[in-house]
Amino acid sequence: MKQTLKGYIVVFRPAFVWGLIGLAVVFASSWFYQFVVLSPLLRILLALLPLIPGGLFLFYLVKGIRGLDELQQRIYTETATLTFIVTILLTFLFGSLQRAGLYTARWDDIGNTMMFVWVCIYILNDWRYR
Amino acid sequence: MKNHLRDLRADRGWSQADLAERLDVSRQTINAIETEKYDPSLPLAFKIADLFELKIEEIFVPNKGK
Repeated sequence: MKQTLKGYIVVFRPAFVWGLIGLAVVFASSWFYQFVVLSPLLRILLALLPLIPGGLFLFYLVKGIRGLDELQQRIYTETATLTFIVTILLTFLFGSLQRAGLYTARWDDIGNTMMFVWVCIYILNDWRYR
Repeated sequence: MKNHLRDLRADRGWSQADLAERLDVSRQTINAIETEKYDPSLPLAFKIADLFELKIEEIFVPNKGK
């Protein structure tokens, strides 16, 4: 089953669902901060809340990857390694730009960039073994 | 590493998908091994050898000078 698109969907469905829940929690907590007066304790709890779906997303992502065959695991491992390195470089770049007063990175710049880089590197790596 | 996987598979009239199914790997893995873009792990190499009832060295041939 894991050789087919349907297999991929089954393997990664829990991670996908928890990722969506995580995003919903992030947006919901942002809305609460903006429109509802909360006590400091509630603000802290709300800030930590996305960690739960985020942690489950990572757990099921790793579980999904471990359920793939060895070549796919290799592709994912190479992708993660390269993405990590590129993200570090980009973090330094954002830091340099900020120090130079040219651009102040927002908190989600790194995350979004990392996801974009992940997709690009995955497509390249997958193509290499086609 | 060179290998005779494509010939062995063709001798049995199997498609890449058939062989992938028998080995419980993706068709992409079979294609990558056949085109020598990817060397299989030792457990997979043993599985391939078992399936074709051959020794590993009868299927996989190391590149000289490596």
